[in-house]
Amino acid sequence: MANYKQGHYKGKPTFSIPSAYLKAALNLLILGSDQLRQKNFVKQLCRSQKNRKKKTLENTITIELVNEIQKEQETYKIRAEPLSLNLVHPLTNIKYSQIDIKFTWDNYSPNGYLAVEAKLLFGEGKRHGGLYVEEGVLDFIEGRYSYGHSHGIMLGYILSKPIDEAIVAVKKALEKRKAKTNEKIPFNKVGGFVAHSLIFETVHIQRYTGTEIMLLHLFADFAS
Amino acid sequence: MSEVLTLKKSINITLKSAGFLTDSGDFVDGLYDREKAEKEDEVFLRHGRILDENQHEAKIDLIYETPATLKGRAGHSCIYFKDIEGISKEQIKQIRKDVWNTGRAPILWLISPTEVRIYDAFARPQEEDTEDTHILDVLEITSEGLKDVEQFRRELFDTGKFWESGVGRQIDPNQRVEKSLLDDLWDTEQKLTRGDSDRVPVHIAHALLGRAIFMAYLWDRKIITPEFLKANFEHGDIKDLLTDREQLDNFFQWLRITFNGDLFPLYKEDEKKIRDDKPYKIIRAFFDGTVMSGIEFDDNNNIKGQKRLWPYSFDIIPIELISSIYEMFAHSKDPIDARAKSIHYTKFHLVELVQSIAMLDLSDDARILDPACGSGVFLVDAFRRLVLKRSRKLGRKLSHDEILQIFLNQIYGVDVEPGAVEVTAFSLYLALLELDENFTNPEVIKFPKLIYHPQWEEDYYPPLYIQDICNSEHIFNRNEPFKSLKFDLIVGNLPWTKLGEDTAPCDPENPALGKQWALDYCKKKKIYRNRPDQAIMIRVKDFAKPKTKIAFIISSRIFYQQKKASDNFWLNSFLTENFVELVFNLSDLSDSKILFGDKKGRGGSTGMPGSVFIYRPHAPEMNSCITYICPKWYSGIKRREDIIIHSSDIQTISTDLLIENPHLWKIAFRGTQRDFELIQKLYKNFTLKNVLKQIGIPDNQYGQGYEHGSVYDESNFHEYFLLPNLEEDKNFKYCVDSEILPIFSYRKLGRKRSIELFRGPLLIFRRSLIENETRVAFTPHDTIFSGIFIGISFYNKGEQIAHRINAVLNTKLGIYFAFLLGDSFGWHFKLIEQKDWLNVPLPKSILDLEDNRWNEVIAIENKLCESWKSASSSEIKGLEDSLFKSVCDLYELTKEERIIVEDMINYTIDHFLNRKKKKSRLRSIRSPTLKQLEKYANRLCEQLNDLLALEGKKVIYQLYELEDKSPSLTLVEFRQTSQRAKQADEPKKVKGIEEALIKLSENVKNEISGGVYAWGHLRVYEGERLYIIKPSEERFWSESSALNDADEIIREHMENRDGKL
Repeated sequence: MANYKQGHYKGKPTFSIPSAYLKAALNLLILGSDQLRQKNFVKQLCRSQKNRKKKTLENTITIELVNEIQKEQETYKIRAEPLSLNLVHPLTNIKYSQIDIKFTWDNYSPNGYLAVEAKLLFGEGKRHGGLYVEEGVLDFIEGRYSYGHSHGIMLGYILSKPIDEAIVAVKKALEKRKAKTNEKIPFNKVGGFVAHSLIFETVHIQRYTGTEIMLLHLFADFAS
Repeated sequence: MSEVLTLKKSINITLKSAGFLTDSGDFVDGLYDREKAEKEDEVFLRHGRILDENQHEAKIDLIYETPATLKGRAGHSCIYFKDIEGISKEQIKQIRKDVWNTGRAPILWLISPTEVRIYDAFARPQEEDTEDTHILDVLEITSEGLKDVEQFRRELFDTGKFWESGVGRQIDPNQRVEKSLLDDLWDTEQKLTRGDSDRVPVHIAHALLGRAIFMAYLWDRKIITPEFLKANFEHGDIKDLLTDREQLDNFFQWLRITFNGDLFPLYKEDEKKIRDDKPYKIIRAFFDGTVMSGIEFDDNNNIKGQKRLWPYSFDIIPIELISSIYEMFAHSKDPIDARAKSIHYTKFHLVELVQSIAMLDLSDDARILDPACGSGVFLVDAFRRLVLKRSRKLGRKLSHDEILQIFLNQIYGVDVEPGAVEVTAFSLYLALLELDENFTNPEVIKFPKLIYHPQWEEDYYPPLYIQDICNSEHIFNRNEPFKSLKFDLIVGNLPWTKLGEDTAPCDPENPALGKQWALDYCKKKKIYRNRPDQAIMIRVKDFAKPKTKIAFIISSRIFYQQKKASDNFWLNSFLTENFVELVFNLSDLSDSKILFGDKKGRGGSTGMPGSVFIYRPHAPEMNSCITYICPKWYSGIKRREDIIIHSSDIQTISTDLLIENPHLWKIAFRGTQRDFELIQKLYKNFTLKNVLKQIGIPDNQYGQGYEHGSVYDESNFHEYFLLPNLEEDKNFKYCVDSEILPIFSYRKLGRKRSIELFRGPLLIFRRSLIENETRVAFTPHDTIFSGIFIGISFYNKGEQIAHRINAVLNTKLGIYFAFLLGDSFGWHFKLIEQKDWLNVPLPKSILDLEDNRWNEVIAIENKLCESWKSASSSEIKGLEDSLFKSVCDLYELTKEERIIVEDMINYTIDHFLNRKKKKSRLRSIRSPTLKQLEKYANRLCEQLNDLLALEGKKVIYQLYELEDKSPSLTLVEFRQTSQRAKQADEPKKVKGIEEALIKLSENVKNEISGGVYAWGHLRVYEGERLYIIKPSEERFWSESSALNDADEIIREHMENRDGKL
């Protein structure tokens, strides 16, 4: 598309806003998850849906998590939105992927956000590491959202212990699919960026843009 | 005593002192000499001719245009500079006259070694002019600089402040060449067509004047010379020729042959209607410079009148101006018919705006169609641009054949009006003569046929058709390039007026009984109210390939009027089938009359808001965005007569978001992203319509009141009698005392309403604003009300809710919602209609009667009901402020959201409603005080610092106090620093903005020297510093501006992140 707009600024923006923004988003996710844990929300939810055939755990946790985030987001003056609509292109019928949580800095732009993809994980039985990569990580790599972005966040809701096992499952699933995910830097722990022990990173090349995207993998312990 | 400097030195001193040179002595952006202008199409198209050596003493040395904000768009012409060393006083007069004829620059600077003479270049030249007439100032040049240059500095032009100054106000755009010529033509036409027995029909008058202008053009361009005239028509001068009817008829015959009969044809029966020489005498008087409005005839039909200078030089007046003037003039044929056919004259700067964007990326072999070509003003412009593009590509001037190829194979027009197509032919012939320098010998000139005639052979594909573009059976559909969809650009100003059976044009080849093609097409495509612009937007796709660009001027009601017709919003279906790239919403300029018609509203001028749509006829791509540009009215727009686009007027919005939220067209037009977010948040609540449904109020219990008229007699509304009657003259708020209203007594009405609508308790909404406020009032009694009101009857239902709504909608939030969501207020009329009121979102708890937070609101509402008429204004203000605060609490607005609402009312809505008031009364454009700047800066820091604290950083600011009492620009510096740094308390004092920037940083000065003033709104990042520079107007330095600027700063950083944590 022709770009008719000339920039409103000159020079190179150099304030520490991008890293602060990322920290703020991670902090809010951590804070919101802590709130849910304190309220025992996830465990109660799991119990209430135990016998249901069609469970809605992931989306229900996400919606509640965003509610908690929205109570606190004024602290950093950034904005979170839950479950953006699953849009379908009017003529081509191509589906846009649903983004679980969007931290938005430009509402008018289809691309002005930091995406968070949430996935359920388990420390025992079917750990869902494969689904985490196939239906989460790959959405970033294939540009179903975060097209051309430098960062994205994967958020693992760990619903059963042992926590480490769930994380190992993710690590193994990523290793197994490293060609598919165009992995450039493998799964490794991030230290000191925010006050949370369960943050990891991977770096990939996005399929169509060729740009590098760093995925931050944040795991929320809802099992302890 | 000034020293004598060399001219080169004095020009340098002049330019440097006035801010037109950078520190290193280079031209600033916008300053051009011929060499620089030749490199830029837009500039060259506008000024190439006057910069040409061949203009001899009229040649201008330099021009200055304030650079435009929009890529591809030309700047705004301001100043012509010329050195006048060795030039006589007479030559100065001639230079001024020539510059006036260009119609481009309002100001002329003549530079000698000792002084700069600054002239009003729009003032019409007069016989008695001296070298000092119309001089605005004379500035002395010394080796130190240009004395007293302050009021002519560049930044004053860039920010528009010059036009508001005493000197700027002396320049009267109504004296511009095109307005003068139009007025003279108009007066001449009046003399030709008004009279008793000897008047000529309007179309003949137009043909005679058109031919005469063409003749004058050929004469001034020296295409017809005295020798040619003498040899062929026995006279050596065109004025003499005008006195000899027989020879003049011979000359016109020559014109007809040369132009293949397409130049203002007159048929034998028409010519018979010219019974005597009087029309020719009138035309001669016009060319003699007679003041046409004052001429009289003696008994022998000789003309008596006051003479003045004939100021026009058709070799200098831009060809595009001549054709647009003639379009305006031609539309005077039948103004009523013109309006019915929705013909309105497009002012040239609007044509230029559309074309500069639409043709930006087009190649030189592009084919262009105007499906409603009018006088061909778009086609003429396109022709000039194509010739320039081809010439640039080949690196040389084009040959006669090459230009003719473009003329005949790349420019196409269709119009239902025969007269319009004739004017198009006239305009294109003029353009051809201008562009093809080979047309110098009248003996061998032969022009090609342009207009299609039904009797022509089938295999001739002319560029112009007198036909309705909606006619799908006409031969043009089968002719190239229509048949093979070979158009690259389809452009034009489409007709807007709804088509009716009695007004829609018939097939011009069968005007009495022919089909009404456009009307039929509207019906077939189910176009709401048969709007021809919307029909043509679809129809032209039949001639377009997917890559074809389509650029149309259309009515802005596309954004707001369609929703009533059905649940389908027409624009949404259009957006899903077409890739809309850019929309100029020009609605805010509609009442300034700078887009259409002339100053007197002639030429079918429309007061309706207009917009420009640029799109391609294929579905939008995924994640596509629309560039939405909404230029605003500004003080002095009528003097400056230009569309100014600030960077803040340009927004890029996701197409999907616009489809999901049709109200975003309005919100983005009037507000910012923060307003959109707020409205989105509140739309999660019930709207008034939802609430009425929830409490069970049926449709017949709300609506507009009765209308005056004589359709119904009293037997149809006998229930109204004996009830109190509320009409427009009653001013009330919060509560109507129905007991003191007069009793309803009308015997006839134009529209009646069901008595259920008038049953108390009632909530009555005024559709218009009073004292710039919404007016809603409660009454417990049955009350009849007129159509200026909308009422909701809460008969036996929800009286408590009625009081709640009364409280909410009488606060500032009522006008905020109406302005951002209303389909009328803020677009065309200042009315808040039923649908607008019903769409207002109400607080979440509106139906929760147990919610105690409402108690305080209702207590204040009750007090206001009792005391609004009797209490002092300060008491009312106190109560209303408390009510607003409590209602904001009910809406759960954050402190930032309250700022957004209040500033929208104090600045944007105030600016909109009070634009006709004196400038001093408009708060929005007053200079900000230091205290306001401090508030702005504090708010911006607060927005960023919570975030930056995560990185151990914060932003502090520095204000600058400029010695200039009313600076045109204001600057605030922000600096990212450690959290330990302290905020400076005092502003730094500096002399002016220029000096402020020099003090701040030499690097910044160099980097931004070209653009800083031009952009008006600019953020400059340098290391850890950010400078925000904006016009010195309160609205740009409000707290809501700080919030929006903080959002922009975050966006700029997030879009530029480099991937590192």
